[in-house]
Amino acid sequence: MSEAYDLLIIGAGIAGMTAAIYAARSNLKTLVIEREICGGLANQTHTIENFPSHPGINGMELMELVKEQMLACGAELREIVDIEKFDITGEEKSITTDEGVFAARALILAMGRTPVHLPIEADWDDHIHYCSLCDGNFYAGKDIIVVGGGNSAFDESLYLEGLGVKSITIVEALERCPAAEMTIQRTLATGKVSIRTSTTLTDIRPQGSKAQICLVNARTGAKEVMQTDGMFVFIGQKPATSAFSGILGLDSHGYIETTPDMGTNIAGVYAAGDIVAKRYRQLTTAMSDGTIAALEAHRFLCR
Amino acid sequence: MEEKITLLNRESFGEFVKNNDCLVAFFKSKCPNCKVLLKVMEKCKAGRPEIAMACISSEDEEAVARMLAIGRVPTVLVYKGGEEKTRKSGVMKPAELEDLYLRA
Ligand SMILES: Cc1cc2nc3c(=O)[nH]c(=O)nc-3n(C[C@H](O)[C@H](O)[C@H](O)COP(=O)(O)OP(=O)(O)OC[C@H]3O[C@@H](n4cnc5c(N)ncnc54)[C@H](O)[C@@H]3O)c2cc1C
Repeated sequence: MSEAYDLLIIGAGIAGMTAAIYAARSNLKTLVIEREICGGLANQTHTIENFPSHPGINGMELMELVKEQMLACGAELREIVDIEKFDITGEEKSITTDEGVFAARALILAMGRTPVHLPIEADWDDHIHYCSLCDGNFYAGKDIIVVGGGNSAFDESLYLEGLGVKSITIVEALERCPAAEMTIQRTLATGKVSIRTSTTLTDIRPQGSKAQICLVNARTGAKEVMQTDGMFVFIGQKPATSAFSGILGLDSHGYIETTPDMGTNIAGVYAAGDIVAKRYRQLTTAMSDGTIAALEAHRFLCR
Repeated sequence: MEEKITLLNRESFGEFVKNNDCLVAFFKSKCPNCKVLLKVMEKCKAGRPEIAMACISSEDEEAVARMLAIGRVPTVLVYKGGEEKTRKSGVMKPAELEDLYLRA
């Protein structure tokens, strides 16, 4: 037996929660299913400075406010849920989880993206991190490597520098760091950060709590060996859509292709947020997707 | 049997791990992965109420964290017979947490 809803939303990041607010306010019986906890990627951002109405707010704090609003609107939420099976091609979409089977005529996929892990095997996992908010303060007074030269890597480097890290070496494979020039300059102005461009991390050799790492410059072939206490990796994100290959229209990177109204190739199935094939991935764009997806789901259900 | 996750401090920590075979999670307040792990612990506790579970802030109780060489959070320690049997860092699923305890 499945539990029946009007709308199921998978993923309780900002896209899924915004969709839930709109759906619940449209009187749709709405269930949000989340693998971890509400908030998604924004939980990992210490200060968000471009969210209208909040010149600077902690990501987890902002997400807590959205969660409260969503629940107050009447949406139901289940966190720490493992989805075992998606049946989404029929008129009734059904989701099998470790907490039971849930069914609805409409479904919004808002599962965002997960960080790309370092493609190097090393028995040093306790010192390789993907969340500076979680693990940064253990590196006060220590030397660290930041892998990646995008905005995330520079923003996180600034945060780590603020925690009292002794030195940061940013390693970027491209010729130029893709981060915004203003952020790069702000980071360099701390005097604690050095940047290696056209450089790839090729080896990590653990030496007790430290490790010796090998960097290779792609232009000159020069090798550099240095010792480090830890490593923070920000080399991008990938969409969690492997379960839908051959079912939903995906682009070559695995992002879900949608119509301007967030519809997919399956009637009643919508997508919202970072999981969607698009150019800009921000909180505000995810909220826009979530809004449109929920309103379209409502329209679909009223037909 | 405690129905909830017990919040420990430097005074209660020693007694708790001496008197209970248990899982203890070290966490930080602003750490998203810790928040996930504590929620996982709640779900695990709901299914296995007989397993004693506790948590302790590595910020507020820095001395305890230092004494046990907690290098990152969340880190879960399993105590049996008053001794640390195993530990694991990072986010786990409820079944993995239960397994960590049962195998220790
Ligand atoms: C380091 C960093 C800093 C950033 N800073 C900013 C910023 O300052 N301002 C800004 O506007 N944007 C920022 N962004 C981008 C912003 O965080 C994202 O665009 C936004 O969070 C995307 O929201 P989402 O809901 O689409 O996905 P997510 O936030 O990724 O949420 C997806 C949710 O789905 C859940 N999920 C995944 N798979 C499943 C499954 N199988 N079952 C159930 N649940 C599942 C996940 O656990 C997650 O909670 C930043 C991103 C990064 C990486």
